[in-house]
Amino acid sequence: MALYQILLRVVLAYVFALLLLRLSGKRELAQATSHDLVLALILGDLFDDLFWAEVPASQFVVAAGVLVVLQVAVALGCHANQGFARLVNGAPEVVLRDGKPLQQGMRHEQLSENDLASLLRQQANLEREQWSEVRCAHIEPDGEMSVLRHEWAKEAQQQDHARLPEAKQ
Amino acid sequence: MKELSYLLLTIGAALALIGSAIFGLGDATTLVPPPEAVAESFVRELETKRYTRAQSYLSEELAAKTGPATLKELTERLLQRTGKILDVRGEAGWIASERAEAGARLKTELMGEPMLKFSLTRRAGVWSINDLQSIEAAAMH
Repeated sequence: MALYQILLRVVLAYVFALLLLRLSGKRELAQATSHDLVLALILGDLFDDLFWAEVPASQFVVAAGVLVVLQVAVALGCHANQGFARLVNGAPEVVLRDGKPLQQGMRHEQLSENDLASLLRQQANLEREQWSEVRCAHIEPDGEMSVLRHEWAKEAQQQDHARLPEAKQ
Repeated sequence: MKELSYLLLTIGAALALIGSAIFGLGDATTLVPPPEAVAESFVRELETKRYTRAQSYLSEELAAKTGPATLKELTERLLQRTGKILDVRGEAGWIASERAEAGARLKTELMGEPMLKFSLTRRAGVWSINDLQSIEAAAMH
């Protein structure tokens, strides 16, 4: 197979993918959900078939195009309807409340207590003895953890300075 | 909805571009699998016993008289002679307008590296295999 043919196919696939990504919105890259990941894997396989001329370019364009159209249609559906969004993406799962791990949420997310400790260390800088600072920790639909702290555990802000006794004097 | 319309337009434009390269400029090897890729894929499908998929590489006329059962029988006879097929590599032959010849070089357990040659025709821009004489000969002798 001539190198220039591979080059042409790669350029075609690259430009087409770039256009599809550009038109499908930036969320694909920054806020990948589980079905975004599946889409990326399928697209990767389709690219491979095109690069080595295993399928005609038209089949690649139709298959990749329809996948991205479906993805955008689902994303628009999620934007328009909360119920549909929950059905497609799932709901955030509470895994820690008032410093105590919730077994039901952890089982649903297949998290062990060690996994939870690791996530809290990585994403909220919280050691196990600081878990009581957490009001609520969720595993979001994109797999990221979000942590809400109790009021008393939040970092001091400029407005808090005025409340200090020394500031009043 | 605007996003979907733009996406559909992009897909349409890409298909139009590919169509004009194939039917307007006569591309037969870049945006469609070249004959040697068709030959290689066909033999790989046979080797992995996916006879229905293998049938899709045959021209309409040949596919009409060569069903998956025939391909299975042919493959089994070929494998009896060659032993296990260890690798398949497509080799370019010649292309003249709507006709071509290409080969699939096999790496086999018992017969070394025999070459299966196929003649191909081009319909609607896509190459398909026109005869199985080479594979029949390799299976018989």
